[in-house]
Amino acid sequence: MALKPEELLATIDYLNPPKTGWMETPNDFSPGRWPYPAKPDLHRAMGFKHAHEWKADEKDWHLPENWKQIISEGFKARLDKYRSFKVFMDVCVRCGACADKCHFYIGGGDPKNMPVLRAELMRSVYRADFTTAGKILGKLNGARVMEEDVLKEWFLYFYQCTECRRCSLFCPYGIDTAEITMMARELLHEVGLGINWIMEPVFNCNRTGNHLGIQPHAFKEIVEFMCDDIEEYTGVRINPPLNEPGHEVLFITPSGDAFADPGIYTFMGYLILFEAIGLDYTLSTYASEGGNFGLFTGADTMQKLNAKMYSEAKRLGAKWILGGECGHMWRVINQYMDTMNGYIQEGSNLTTPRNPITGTVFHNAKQTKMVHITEFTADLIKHGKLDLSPERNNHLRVTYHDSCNPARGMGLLEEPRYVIKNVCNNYFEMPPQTTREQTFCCGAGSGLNTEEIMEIRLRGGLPRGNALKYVQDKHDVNMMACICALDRATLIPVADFWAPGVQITGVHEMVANALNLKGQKKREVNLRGEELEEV
Amino acid sequence: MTLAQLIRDEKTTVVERWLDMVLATYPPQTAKMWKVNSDPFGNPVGQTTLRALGELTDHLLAWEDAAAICASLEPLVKIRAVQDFSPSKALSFVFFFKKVVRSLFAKAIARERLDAELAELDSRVENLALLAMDIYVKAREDLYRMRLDEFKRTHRMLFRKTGIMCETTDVLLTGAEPAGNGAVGTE
Repeated sequence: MALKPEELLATIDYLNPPKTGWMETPNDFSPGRWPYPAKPDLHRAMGFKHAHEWKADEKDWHLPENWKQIISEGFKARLDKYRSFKVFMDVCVRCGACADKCHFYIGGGDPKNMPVLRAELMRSVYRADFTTAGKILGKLNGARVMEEDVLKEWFLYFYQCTECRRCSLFCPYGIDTAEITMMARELLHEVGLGINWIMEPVFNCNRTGNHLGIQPHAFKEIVEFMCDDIEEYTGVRINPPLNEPGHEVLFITPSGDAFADPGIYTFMGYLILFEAIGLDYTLSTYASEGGNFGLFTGADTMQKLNAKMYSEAKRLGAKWILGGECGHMWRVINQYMDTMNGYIQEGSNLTTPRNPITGTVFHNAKQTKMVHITEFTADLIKHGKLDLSPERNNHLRVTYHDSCNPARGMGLLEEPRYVIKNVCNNYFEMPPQTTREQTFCCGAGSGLNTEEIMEIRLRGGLPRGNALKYVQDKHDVNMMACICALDRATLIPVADFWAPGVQITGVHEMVANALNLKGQKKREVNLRGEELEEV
Repeated sequence: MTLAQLIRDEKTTVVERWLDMVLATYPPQTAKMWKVNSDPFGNPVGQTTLRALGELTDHLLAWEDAAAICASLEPLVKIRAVQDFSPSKALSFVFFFKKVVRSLFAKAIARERLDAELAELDSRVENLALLAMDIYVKAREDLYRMRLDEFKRTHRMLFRKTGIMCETTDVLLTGAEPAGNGAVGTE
């Protein structure tokens, strides 16, 4: 029988939203609401168990028969291993301070994206399985039994958390919601549920050293392309050392800077800076990835992928490591690296980093032996070691997006601003509730920068895009700088959609455009090959 | 008394009722939060919706400047274009205006015989919906283009290395070598 119009337009009952409680509200698994599953052979190759074919929009996810047992035992093992996790499960009083602080909630309005409720997806199971009150009182105590629908709900919502930790900033107990998401994703991996956008980079990183799986000779060739461009634009030929032992510094940056537009211009910026100051450094094709998507699968994988940083520094005999503009790389370095892999430092030449040009000792990096490039460059500028012509950036009206992990994970707030203000003359801050510690995520961190969930990313990017639009309207801002390779990729659509006309750059692209090199020719174009106005 | 005059006098009530109906397309707890939080940066959806509906109320009465109408529609339509709505539900907010006017002024319309003016206002609402549809579709087209552009950007240096990236369409027209190995600044 033919449908009547009102039957076809079933969704047009606008004024009657679902009245069910959150536990009973069914989840929508339409395409576009979840990232594609990991390829089973990659999942298997990385040592994760129960690799299998599955699709989120099919009813049967082909879970292993004993999946409930795996989850329950895995849950218990993690509660025993991480005291913080147990505290986070117990201590939340559901005060709601975090409720409207998540960019996905702010942009989309789905209550399950309130950090408190997202964590409650796990806590409800925790109560049923591990607390006396929950076992006895059940739903009265907010407990629920682990069922297939609950597990599916975990997948849907713990892949709508970018682990940016903005909510944690507002939590009176300091609950680190990102670590709850990490636990949920670890447990999902145990029953064979992972996403390909994370697993493939992890697999590539594990085999070849970087996310795209670029082999050493190709990596070298790509670096040479960039040197060709630098020579064309500046007249100076740079030949960066690769895999050479005996240099003072090992430089590691996310591979997005080597392969992706506009990260490549930031990479060219690093090379120009090192040339200008005569830094004794080497790049490495083995440690050719600063990023660590292992952080988004499980602690063991994160540890393994991270180990190459110290291993390579040890093999090459470097004294310290300089790190490029990356986001989650710095979270791993500052919060986990020393605990996980500090032992590798033994017997190496690694020592508390000292800037060879200025003599500044970076005591803050005593433990990790790694210095962030904006700290390094800020120190160079402060000591007057760089010959800068900021007027070459006069066509730019710049704002700065605090990348979540460097801002909230390591407190890097002033150095990037100091550098930017010294290399360009027009700088404008976005509103204070959207910057520094309170910065909004790009909407696609923690391995969610995949194109099949672009709607989710764009609504997650709304709070950032909205603040950007404000400074675009008010100050004619046309460039947003950031210090994260994921940002450099994901903020482009965010800006394009919410504040069209604003471009994205890394900080060191602007540094190099302002920086004068000895023996350079007249600088007529910038690193993107665009003509510069006569200044 | 004209209908336009009635709406103008009661603009705050009109906009508030319209806002309530639009917010009711979201879950109830969200609607409540988005209504009370007046920070445009912490609550961009609620505040953008409020601002847009106020401007659109004026536009529906004046009905003069198409570009200005679109400028008011755009921020709201773009937000709803990437939220979890079907296209019809995303754009339903335009038609709510009809319901608002009837619910507030039904008696006055009958008493003052304002049916002709109401019919004209209704047709403006329908035209507003058509403008909104154009903006919605463009936003969705932009979104798909962004998905494609992102893929190209991610693999920029690999395309260059393998020589399969054309910098401009001129290359195709003139049959020149694509910009790959050696085309730009290499030996």
